Amino acid sequence: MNEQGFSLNEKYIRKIILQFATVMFILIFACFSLRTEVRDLLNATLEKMIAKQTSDMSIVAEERFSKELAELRLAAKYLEAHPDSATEENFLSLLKLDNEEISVGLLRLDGRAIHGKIISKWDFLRFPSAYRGNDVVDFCAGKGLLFAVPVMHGGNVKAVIYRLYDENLLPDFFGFAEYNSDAKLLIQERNGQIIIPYKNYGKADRKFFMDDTIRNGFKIIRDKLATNKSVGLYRKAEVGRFFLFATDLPQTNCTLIGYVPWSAVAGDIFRIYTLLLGGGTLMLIFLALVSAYLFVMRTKAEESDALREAKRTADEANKAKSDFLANMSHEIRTPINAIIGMNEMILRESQNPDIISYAQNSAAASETLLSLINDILDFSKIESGKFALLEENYKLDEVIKSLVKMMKPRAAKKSLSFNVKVNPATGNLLFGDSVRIRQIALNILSNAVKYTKVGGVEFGVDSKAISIDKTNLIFTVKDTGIGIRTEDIPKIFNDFERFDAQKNKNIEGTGLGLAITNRLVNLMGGKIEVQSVYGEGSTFIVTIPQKIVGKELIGNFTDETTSVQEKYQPLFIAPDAEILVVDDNEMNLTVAVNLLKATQIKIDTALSGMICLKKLAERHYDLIFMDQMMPSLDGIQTLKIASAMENNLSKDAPIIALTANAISGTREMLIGKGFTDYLSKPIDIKLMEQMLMKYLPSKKILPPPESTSEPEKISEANSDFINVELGLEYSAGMPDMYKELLLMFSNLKAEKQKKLQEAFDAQDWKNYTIYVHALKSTALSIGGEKTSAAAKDLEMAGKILTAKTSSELEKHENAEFIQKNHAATMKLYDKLAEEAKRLADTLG
Amino acid sequence: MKYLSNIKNFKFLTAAVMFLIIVLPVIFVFHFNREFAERKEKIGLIILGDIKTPGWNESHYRGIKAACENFGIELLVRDKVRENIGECPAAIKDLARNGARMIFLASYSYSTEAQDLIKRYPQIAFATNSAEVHARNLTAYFVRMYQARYLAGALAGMKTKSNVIGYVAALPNTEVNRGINAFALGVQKTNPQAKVVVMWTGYWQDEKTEAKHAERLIKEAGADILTYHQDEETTAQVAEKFGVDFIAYNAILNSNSEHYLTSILCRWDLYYSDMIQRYLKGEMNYVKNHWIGIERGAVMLSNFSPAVTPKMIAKVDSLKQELINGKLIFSGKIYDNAGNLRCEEDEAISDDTLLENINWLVRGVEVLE
Repeated sequence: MNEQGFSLNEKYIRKIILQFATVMFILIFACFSLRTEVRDLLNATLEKMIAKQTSDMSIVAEERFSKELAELRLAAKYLEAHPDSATEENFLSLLKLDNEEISVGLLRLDGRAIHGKIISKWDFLRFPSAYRGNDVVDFCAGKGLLFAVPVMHGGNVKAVIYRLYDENLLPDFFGFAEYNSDAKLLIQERNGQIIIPYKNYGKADRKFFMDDTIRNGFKIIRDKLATNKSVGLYRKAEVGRFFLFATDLPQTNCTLIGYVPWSAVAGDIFRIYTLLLGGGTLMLIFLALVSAYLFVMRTKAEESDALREAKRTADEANKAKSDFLANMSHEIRTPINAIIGMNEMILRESQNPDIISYAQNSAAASETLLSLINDILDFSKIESGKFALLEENYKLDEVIKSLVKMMKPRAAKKSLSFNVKVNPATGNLLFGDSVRIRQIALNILSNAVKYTKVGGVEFGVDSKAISIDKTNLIFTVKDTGIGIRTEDIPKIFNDFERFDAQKNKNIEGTGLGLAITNRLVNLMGGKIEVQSVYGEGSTFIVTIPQKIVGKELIGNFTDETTSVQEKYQPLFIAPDAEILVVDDNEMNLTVAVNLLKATQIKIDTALSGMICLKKLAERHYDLIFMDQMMPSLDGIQTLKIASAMENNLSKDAPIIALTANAISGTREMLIGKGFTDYLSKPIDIKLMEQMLMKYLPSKKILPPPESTSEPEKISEANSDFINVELGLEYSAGMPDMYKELLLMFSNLKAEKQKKLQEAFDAQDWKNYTIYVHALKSTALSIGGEKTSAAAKDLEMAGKILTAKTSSELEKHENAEFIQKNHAATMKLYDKLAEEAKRLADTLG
Repeated sequence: MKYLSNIKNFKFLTAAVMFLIIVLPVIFVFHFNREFAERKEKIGLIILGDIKTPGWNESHYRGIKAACENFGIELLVRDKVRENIGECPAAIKDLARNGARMIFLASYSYSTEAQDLIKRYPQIAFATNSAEVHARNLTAYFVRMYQARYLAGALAGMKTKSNVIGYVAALPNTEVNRGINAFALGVQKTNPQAKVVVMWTGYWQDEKTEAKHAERLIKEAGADILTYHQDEETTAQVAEKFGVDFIAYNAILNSNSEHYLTSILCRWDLYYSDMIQRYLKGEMNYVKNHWIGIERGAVMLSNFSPAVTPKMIAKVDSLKQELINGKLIFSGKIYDNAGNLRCEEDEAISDDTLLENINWLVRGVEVLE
């Protein structure tokens, strides 16, 4: 992963762990500090709960009281209705329920007893309230619990009926046993004295009540009872943790109090709390983990976003590059087209060996340039994925022949041997992209030649059958060159890679060759193997699977090439054929026209689509070459209009596209648009002729004439000094006339040279210039280019010398130039005259 | 995930989420705790007159205010709420809206007027000083003011020369009748020859009528001691003016006059404290009537005038002790002024009757029309 990017490097992981640890620490700290809070809160809640329970107890007690009072009231009603003392006695005995510890009585208003014991109002302070007509529940320590109701007479109180329960009965009466067995309950007077202890009240319990914290707790409870029905209170004392609780019994002077161990009430709840705490902690850890996970995911997502973005940018840049290269190819190919075409023309038409040599060099340089551009274009196409193989049937021997034909001269130039070994059992009829296969082999062979100084290159062709209709084509290129270091072997297919820069600095190339080759081989499903000993040589073995489409074998491969530069010979002549070439570039038209001059085809040209259409309406053409890219009406549009045009006289004529746009798919596109075929620019004259042979009506095609060898003979005889062709041209191509001129030149020479010499000797520069000018023209008219050129130089010097505007220095320099070169020119003059005479004799 | 990562200000989002995670529970906890901790009790008081007017109004206001301060309760007061014209129900609704959980209706007829409304607020504890209406959430409260009247009557019986004691009274309802009867029984206890002459004004507050009646009681009936059962002290002022003795009610008057024998007083603070405590203890709605009296110090006579002799004071004190010890004023043979026997020898009139059903005056009471 990228170190500077968003990658999850150690720093990030450490950061995440640190954050995670911090969060966990805070959480644990918070949990611990909250624990006390929670316990307090929980205890407070439990206090309330217990208070509520306690108040329920008081309600139960109140209900018991009400029941008791209701019973007494019923008795009172009965007594009101039956004021008979005998009845009263019997009735009251019923109320006693046959229990010795319950007493019943009926008291007069003055306190005297009608029945039963008297009740002292000093014992039961609330008792007098019964005389006011109210129901009374009152408790007196040592006496018991008293219930009293008035016996009425109209709105007035006549007597009071009571029932008194002995203290011993009270625990049962209040049903203490029915409550929580862990709780201890007892009844206190409001002044604090315990009046009814619970059962088994013992020493330990007394100790409990004597504990300061507990006493203090009950004091707080008593204060709180002033404004609360019931109170629960948590206390942590030496004797343990307890909940204390109390409630005032309604309508009495009694308080019900009690206590219960903390664990009996809160134990389970605290277990729940602990459980929650544990669960919560787990949840928090989980949350933290999820957060960390999200963080990581986010970082990754950011990273992949960045990568995507980078890839997109790179793709865009790459596309821009490809587009740029494709455009460049078009832009550069056009001028190269012109250069190559012109060179071709020079090579064809020039008789001057120097100029032919220059043109050859120029042509070679142009070819190199073109191949470089092709390399770059191929590379860009492969890179942008636009590259497609054009597979078709081909003959292997033709490919090999052309390769050998190309490589042999190059090897010969460097004094290298070039041997070809072809396995005769190799199938000849194959299906594949022959152009690219040729390119692959050529690349490797070129490299071999390029990097070999001494020795030679061996080119082997073999095959190995894969299946009935498929074979592995094997090219072996072995050289005795500089070799490749073992560690460099894997890198040789890298883009723009060049090795031993210092050593190979004089070897030109883009460094793309092997990269493209490798890609092409891969594209075809093949592979390249390299074996090399540094300093001794390398062997490249290319294996490419190809389909076999015929049984023909390659047989014994014969090398029939010659290294001599051949004079151009047209494949055919077609004097009756008429074709139209459409291109917006005049130079291209000139090139096309001149290249085809030898074929004797009548060539018409059109500078635009519009002119083309016009011409199509005027006459019939056998074939049309149409440039694809033209201003306003391009080739495709022109074609469309032409095919729809009614007065098109050449509707049946094949239309061949000329295009510099070499992007793959162009061919399909153009044929799809209605073109018969296409020809890539710069125009290869051989391909163009083949195209013409293929598409021109066969009856118009004639074999090439033998007569063209005649001027060759002339040139062979005179090529070193007189340009016969040029001379003939000046003679309108008529040898007789040329002969006459030659003779004239040689005859007049003595006279003219004398005049020239006189002017020179007299330093009569004005006349000298006139004579030299005449020499220049006459020499040229017979093809004496060298002499003419020398005369021209002298003429120039003379002109400057005689010009009024020239400075003294210029005059001096030019005078000196004439002095220096006059003699040499005169010698050239002599020689030309001599040659002219000889040539005239030859022609004669 | 992709969506999350696409949010540009991820940090802000994280911060916001963390903020919510931390702050929301804190707010929640604080809010929750406050709801529990700060639920302050509110008590409402509805009263007839201006709470700044001495007498009934001010004594009640001060009493309830002291009690509320004692328990830390918020007091909401609606004063100058007139009876029987719909002002009281409006005031009840207003207090209920403002969160009063207990409402004191401190005028005699409020409960009758608001009878239906009281039942519509079962969660509010009502308390009123009349026993005319009964409801589960309505407690009749009063102090045994009649005990102080009894003692005042005993003093008047000893003090009178003309054996005629004037009594300016508002309305012939149970409360007023009970007071007149207790007073008359007190007079008869010390002076069986003396009689009590009553004049009805028809209103709790009506200065003109009160003054006119007081003057007539002195001039026409020949009363040499006046007392009254009104919300204000007009009668006392008239008595002072005419130089006759008087016994004030519900207020300690700003007077150094020898004629100002004493005031019948009520410790309303004690009383309200008792009431509110019972309410807080949740006992309020279980009690039909709540009466406290002289044994708790809820009623008393103020300091006596210098004209009251120590012997008289001793007599009053001994009677007071009898009451504290449980003596019932309305017990034994009691006849009304029409000659009917209202209570037999070994009987006592019950609290219920005393609260609700005294539509007669004891023998020895005359009404001056």
